Amino acid sequence: MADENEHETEAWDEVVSGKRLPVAGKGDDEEAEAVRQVLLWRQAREQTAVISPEQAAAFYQRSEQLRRERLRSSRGKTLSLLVVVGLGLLGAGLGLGWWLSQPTTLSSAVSTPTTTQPMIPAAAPPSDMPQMIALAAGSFTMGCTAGWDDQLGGCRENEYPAHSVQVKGFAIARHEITVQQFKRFVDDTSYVTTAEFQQQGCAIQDLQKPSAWVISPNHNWRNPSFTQPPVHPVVCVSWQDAQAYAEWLSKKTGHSYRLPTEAEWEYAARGGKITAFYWGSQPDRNFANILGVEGKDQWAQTAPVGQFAANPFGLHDMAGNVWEWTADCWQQTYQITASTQETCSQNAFRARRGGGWDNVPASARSAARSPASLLDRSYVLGFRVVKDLP
Amino acid sequence: MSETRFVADTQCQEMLLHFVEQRGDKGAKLLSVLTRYIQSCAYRHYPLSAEDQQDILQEVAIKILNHSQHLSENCSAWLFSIVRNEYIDRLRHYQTKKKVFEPDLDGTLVAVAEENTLSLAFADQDLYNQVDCLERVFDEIARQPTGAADMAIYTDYVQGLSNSEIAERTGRTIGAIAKRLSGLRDRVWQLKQELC
Repeated sequence: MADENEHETEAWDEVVSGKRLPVAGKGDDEEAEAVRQVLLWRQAREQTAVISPEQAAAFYQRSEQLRRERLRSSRGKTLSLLVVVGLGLLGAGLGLGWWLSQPTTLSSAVSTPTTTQPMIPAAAPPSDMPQMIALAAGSFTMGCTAGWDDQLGGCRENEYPAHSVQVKGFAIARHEITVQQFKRFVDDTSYVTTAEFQQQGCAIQDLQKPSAWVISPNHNWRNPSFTQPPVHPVVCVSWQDAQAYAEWLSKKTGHSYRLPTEAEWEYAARGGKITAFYWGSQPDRNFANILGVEGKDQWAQTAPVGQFAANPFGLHDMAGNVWEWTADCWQQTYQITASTQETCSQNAFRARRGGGWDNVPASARSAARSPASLLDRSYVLGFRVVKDLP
Repeated sequence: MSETRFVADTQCQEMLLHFVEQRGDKGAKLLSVLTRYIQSCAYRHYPLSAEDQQDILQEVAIKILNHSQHLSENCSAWLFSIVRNEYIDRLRHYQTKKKVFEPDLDGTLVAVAEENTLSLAFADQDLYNQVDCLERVFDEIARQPTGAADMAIYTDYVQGLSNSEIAERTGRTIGAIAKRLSGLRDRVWQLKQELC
């Protein structure tokens, strides 16, 4: 009994302190969340003003203007609705009169197809071809924004400076490319990956010395040293392998597939959020497969794609599971000049994003970046593709 | 209603009227309170972009302008409820876009029911009464001889600070902080029985 009470108090404390999400419908959690919110609310009330009277007055003007516009608009709509309803009733009356005057017949039901399109295409299970989600063009802040991305102990030098970026519309794979999808490509083309070519192998952690990495000749995408069912993300693929896959997919489908640019990748990963992760500022294993096993993250290595909730754009695993190749050459910072851009040769390092299953949470932040050479391949490194929109 | 509650409500109404009637600080204090609360919501469990937060503030301001004349009492609870509801409406808008897949027996992923990535546990309750009751509870705690110190500890705690961080900020031992926090749940429960 005492143990149970202690457990309940512990669970209550976790919610009050913001360490855990409250569970809807669970009385204790809801009460704890209410306590937390009221304390935050009181704190907000007690802070000294940060907005000047002039700013407040300007904000009032804008709000009042919007309010009046909406009032006018709703009055207009009400009038229109009354007219439509009136006409409808008149029409119905005439129709009813006509119908009553006709001989009795069997009427056929006519349904009007809806014209409303879902914002995201209806979800279908990923087959051996990637499922693409179209993202509208937009702008966002790329890199480490102070006060948001650095809440987890700071950012790396290469994430600065934060800067505004505009991206054109594009479609991106809902999931990382799976083993099943990559197999179809290999079956179709007899492609030999970098790791398989002359048994060059794949980078895995040294079992004798876990902090060190070794290239293991026996390991490749078919056998990355742990079991991978077909719905796991393919790993042990180099940038060249990923490029080859995108080229094949383009030929196969007649559409232009490629790896995402870093900007496209981050735009997609953030899903409209400025926080370090799309779900907030703190790591949470209920949202991503990263180092360790806790909460919903029950995988010691790769997880099947789509096991964690999608971000607001409907994309899965943009944080964790496997690092993802991007098309872009690696730049040490975002202070890119024309001269540094010229140094991006065919052999330059490429940027990878998203963090993998063996990483600490900070590496899975939306802004986190890491370089790798064209031929690097490891059991934490995979990719997803994008498609140009017409 | 206790004297403290009356004072708090008077202050709240004054803050509202400054904005609605564009006098005094013209609503700067009100907007600061709303901005800080919205930011604190976004900090941990309820992530929304800066643009979304601005939109919420805008919608709340319009609601205040539309309804403030009907407000007679419980100003703080009313204000809290509208900002909270506005925030949750925005989250729901994003939630409708989320889908989750699970592998079937063949390992093929199949779409399953929508999953809540963001808990809305506090969304469907009677916010108004809940907040009013808890406000009374914390008013009572704040009135006690050690009330100000306790409230500072509780506030740090809900913002995610560890016991050692709170100890450093308040100049107390970690043990003392742990002791204060361990009694929070019982204290709230007891005061709710007495005051609500």
